[in-house]
Amino acid sequence: MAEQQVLLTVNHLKKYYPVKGGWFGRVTDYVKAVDDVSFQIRRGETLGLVGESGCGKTTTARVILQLQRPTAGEVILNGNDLCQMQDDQLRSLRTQMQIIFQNPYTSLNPRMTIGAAIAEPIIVHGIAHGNAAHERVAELLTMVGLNRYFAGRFPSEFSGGQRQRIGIARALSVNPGFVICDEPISSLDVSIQAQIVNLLKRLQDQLGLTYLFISHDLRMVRYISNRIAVMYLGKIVEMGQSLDIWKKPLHPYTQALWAALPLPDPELEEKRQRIVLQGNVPSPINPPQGCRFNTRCPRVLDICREVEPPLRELEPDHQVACHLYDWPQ
Amino acid sequence: MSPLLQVRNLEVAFFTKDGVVRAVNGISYSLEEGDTLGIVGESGCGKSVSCMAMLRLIPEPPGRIMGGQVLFDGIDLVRMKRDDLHTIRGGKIAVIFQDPMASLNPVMNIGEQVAEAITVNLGYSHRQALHRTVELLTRVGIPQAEDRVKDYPHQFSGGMRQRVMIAMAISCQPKLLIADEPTTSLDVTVQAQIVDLVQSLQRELGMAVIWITHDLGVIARLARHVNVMYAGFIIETGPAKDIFKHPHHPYTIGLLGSVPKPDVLGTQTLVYIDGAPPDMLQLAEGCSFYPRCPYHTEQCLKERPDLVSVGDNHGAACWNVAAVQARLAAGPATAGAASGRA
Repeated sequence: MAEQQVLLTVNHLKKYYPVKGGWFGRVTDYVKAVDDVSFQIRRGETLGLVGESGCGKTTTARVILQLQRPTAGEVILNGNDLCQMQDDQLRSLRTQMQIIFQNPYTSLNPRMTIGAAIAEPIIVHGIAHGNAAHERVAELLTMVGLNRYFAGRFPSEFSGGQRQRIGIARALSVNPGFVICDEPISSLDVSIQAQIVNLLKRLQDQLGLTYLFISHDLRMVRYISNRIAVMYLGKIVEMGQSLDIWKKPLHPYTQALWAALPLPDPELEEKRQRIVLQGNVPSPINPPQGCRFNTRCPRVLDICREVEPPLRELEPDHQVACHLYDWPQ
Repeated sequence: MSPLLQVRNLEVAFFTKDGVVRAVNGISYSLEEGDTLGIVGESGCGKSVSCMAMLRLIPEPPGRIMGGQVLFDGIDLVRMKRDDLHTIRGGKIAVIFQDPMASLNPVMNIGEQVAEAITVNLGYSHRQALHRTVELLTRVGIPQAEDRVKDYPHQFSGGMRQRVMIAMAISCQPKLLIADEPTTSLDVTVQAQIVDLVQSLQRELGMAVIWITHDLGVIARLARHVNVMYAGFIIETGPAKDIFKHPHHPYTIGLLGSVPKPDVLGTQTLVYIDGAPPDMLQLAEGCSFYPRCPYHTEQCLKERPDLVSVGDNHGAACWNVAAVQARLAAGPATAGAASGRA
């Protein structure tokens, strides 16, 4: 991976939340929401981040953007380590990184016209004022497939899909190079999801955007991403090219996720071999010793209960953290 | 033998202060004993309301069943006295809902809640009912059920709560289970567990299942027959295999195209449906899908299409079935006609 191509590098990122207990509210434990996560995203590519709820996907996003400060680790965007920066220094860098939220109903202020909502970041960051800002809003609305004259309307006048387009317009208003899409389609109807995914892809091509696409919808993640990282209990267990991860998943957890995904084809469904995982994700407060997946893994070995497997490159650009691949085949 | 359930021209409307919402507009279908029906559609298409109306569970007012029949085991539920409904609900027909937390009483332990259903419906003594509860909870896969009956709903995970709801639903060995999006709020791995559980219980108890969902994958996994709903109408109905292989209604075609196929790479644009679901307060006079349909003609604007047969047991409500098929057959390039502006 040539160094100049890399837009974002995340090194050994950790985010622990203290758990308080006892009479004096002392810190008794930590929720290890993100526990030693490292990855890189190249310019213009989409990295998909998948995993079950509570695995740390959204926390990873928030910590990358420094909306919450990490416990440890580095987040390097365009050569700047965001974790070392003061808040006022960060503000000027915020134009380079934006986020699209999951819920288009709660992420827009109901009392603010959508024109004002989209213009706010433009004005705050001093990109444009007055008529120029209005022009920019109109241009953004057209870009996301809405009528430019909608600027004077309120969020309640729009459907979920349209609101998500407004959220996208607002995120893009400051010309960011890097956009985190945090479950951008989960709350939308199926027919609208495809509209939004197509829009995100078109904008990526047009503007050369780099995405971190977080979703639990594996089909959409596989469709939109160049590379995929699979998270389990705060750790990345497998990462690689989208097609490799899809066609030959190596980690038993990835295999189980794929197997759990129902395909829209009754004939394929009949023939499919099914691995149904037992139980739920264990608590991140006291994650299992050794490999965190060992309590649910259908192919667990003795070593898995003692030693945590490191994330290793097994094939070019395909990393996996699993003891099954300890010995060369 | 007559089918277990026959719905005939069921119509449901809600009288709101903004106007009349015609939520279900004369739908008809039937379901055999032990069979599985999937009802698919987007939010607001009437899939849940039609099933809740069957059990007379919609709030009246503002809701009202405007007409039609729901024959269950030969008895018309629409005309049944309210006082007699309890012999059907929970006993012969059971429902599991999307949000198990909202369906469980937060201040009552799990064992008491399941046992209550058993004492009320089957007349068991409290002790017998508790004993049966433990059996049921074990059957639906709750580990250490005899200890967990003393726990409260918040001590269970989402998937476990849904298992409790299933235990309650099967406690009276219903002939029909209505599953109203029971896996929507769950992770895929847990969803797979729940789908598997319901399927194995269905085989064991021989009950019929109506599975309401917007997830086409889930439908493909478990349904034998599928009804696709749009704006309160069944716009396509048929055996699951036919619907997925040869969809005929432009809406079904668009819906299937909206889901990325396993072998399609991201370089291809997804086929999708333009526009947004209709405003149920002002339904068009003609075909309700007309404003979003890439194949519409003059006729679609004026007249509402009825279901026409397009195959064995397979019907679609579209004026232009032949033209749509011809354009689809012309190659995948024209299927892109369903796309357009992104």
